[in-house]
Amino acid sequence: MSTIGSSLVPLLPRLRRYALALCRVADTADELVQMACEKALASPRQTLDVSFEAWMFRILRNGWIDRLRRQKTRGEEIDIVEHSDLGAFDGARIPESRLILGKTLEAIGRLPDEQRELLLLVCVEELSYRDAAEVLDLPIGTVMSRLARARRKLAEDVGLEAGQLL
Amino acid sequence: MTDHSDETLMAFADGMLDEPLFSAVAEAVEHDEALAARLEQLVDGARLAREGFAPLLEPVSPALEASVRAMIARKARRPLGKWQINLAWLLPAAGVAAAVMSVVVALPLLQRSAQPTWGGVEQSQLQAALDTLPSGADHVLKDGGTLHAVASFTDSTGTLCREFEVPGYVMVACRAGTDWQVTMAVANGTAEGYQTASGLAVLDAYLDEIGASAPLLELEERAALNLD
Repeated sequence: MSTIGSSLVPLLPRLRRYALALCRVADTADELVQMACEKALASPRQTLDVSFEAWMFRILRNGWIDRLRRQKTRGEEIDIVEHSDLGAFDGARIPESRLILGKTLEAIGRLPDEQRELLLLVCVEELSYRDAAEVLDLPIGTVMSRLARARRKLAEDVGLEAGQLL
Repeated sequence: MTDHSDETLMAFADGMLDEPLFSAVAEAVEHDEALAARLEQLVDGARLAREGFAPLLEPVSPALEASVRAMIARKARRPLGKWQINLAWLLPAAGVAAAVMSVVVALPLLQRSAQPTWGGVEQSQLQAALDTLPSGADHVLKDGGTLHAVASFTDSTGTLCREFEVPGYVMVACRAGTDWQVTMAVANGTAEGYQTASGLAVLDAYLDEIGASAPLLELEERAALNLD
C-alpha cells in the first residue's frame, strides 16, 4: 500500500465528518470523500509544510467548492438541504436523554457554513490556526476573528436553549 | 486596565500566546470579571463544538471503504516509468489493446471442464455472484475458493463493469444484456507459473483504455445492479 494509501483509510471517518460539516447530507458526504481520495491518490502531495490531515481537508473542500460552482454554472438545482433543514445536524438523531447534546448539534447546524467548518477544523480536529488558514485559503487574522465569533455564538445559543430547558 | 480582543482571549485559551502577552492576559482576566466571562464563553464554545461534532464521527460505510481501498490498490499497481517504457518497446505498433487481447486470448487454455469457465470458475457461478455481490464482499465458489468483488464502475459507453478476484486471477466483466462477459483477466500472482506484475500493469492500462469511472458507491452500485 502506498504511503498516502495507508494513511487514508484510518482518516476516512474524519474526512466524512468534515464533508458533513460542509454539505450536511450523508450521500453527498460519501461522494465528496470518495472524490477527495481519488484526487489525493492521483496527485503527489505538493505541500509538505501542512499536516497530511490539513492537506486532505483542503482537497475535500476544494472539491466541494468546484461542485457547487459547476452546479451553479449548469443552472442545476443544488442537491443540498435548504437552510431550514439541518440534515446531519438534526438533533432528533440524538437520544432524548441527551437533550442538550441534541440542541448543541442543531446550534452547530444553524451556524453559517464558514463558521461551522472552522469550529470543526480547530476545536475538534485541533488544526493550528495556520493550518486552518491553509485549508480555507484565508489570512490567519480572518480565521481567528471568524473562529472567535463562532465560539461565542455557539456558547450563546446553547446557553440560551439550556436556560429555557432548565 | 488594558482591554483584550476576543481573538487574543481565544489564543490565550488555546495556549497560543507567547510571553509577555500570556501573563498580561492572565493577570487581566484575574481582575476583570467581564473579561473572565468573555474568556469563559470562548472556552465553552470550543467545548460545545467538540461535544456537538462527536456524534458525527462514525465508521464509514463498508462500500465507501471498499471503494477507497480499490482505488489505493489500483494506485499501488500503477506501472512505473520503467514499465511504461518497456510496454512501448514491446508493443511499438499494436498498443495496449493488443496486450489486453493477448491476455484474454490465453484464457481458454485455463478451461478445465466442458462448461465455459474463466480461470477455472464456471460462467454460471460468475453470473450469480456478480449479479448480487456488493463490492468488498466475498462469495464462496463450488470448489471452496473465493470470489472477491473489488469494485463496480462504468466504461466510457456507460456499460456496467465489475472488477473481481478469483483464485489466481484478477478479472473484469462487463454487462452484455443480462449476462456478464469477462473482458479481461490477468494472473495476480497467487497461482503458480504465471507472470504477474506486468499483467496487473496491463489491467490498469486496460481500465484506462476503456475509460473506467471511479468505483461506484454503495447506493449507486445497488441501483446499477437493480438490488432495490
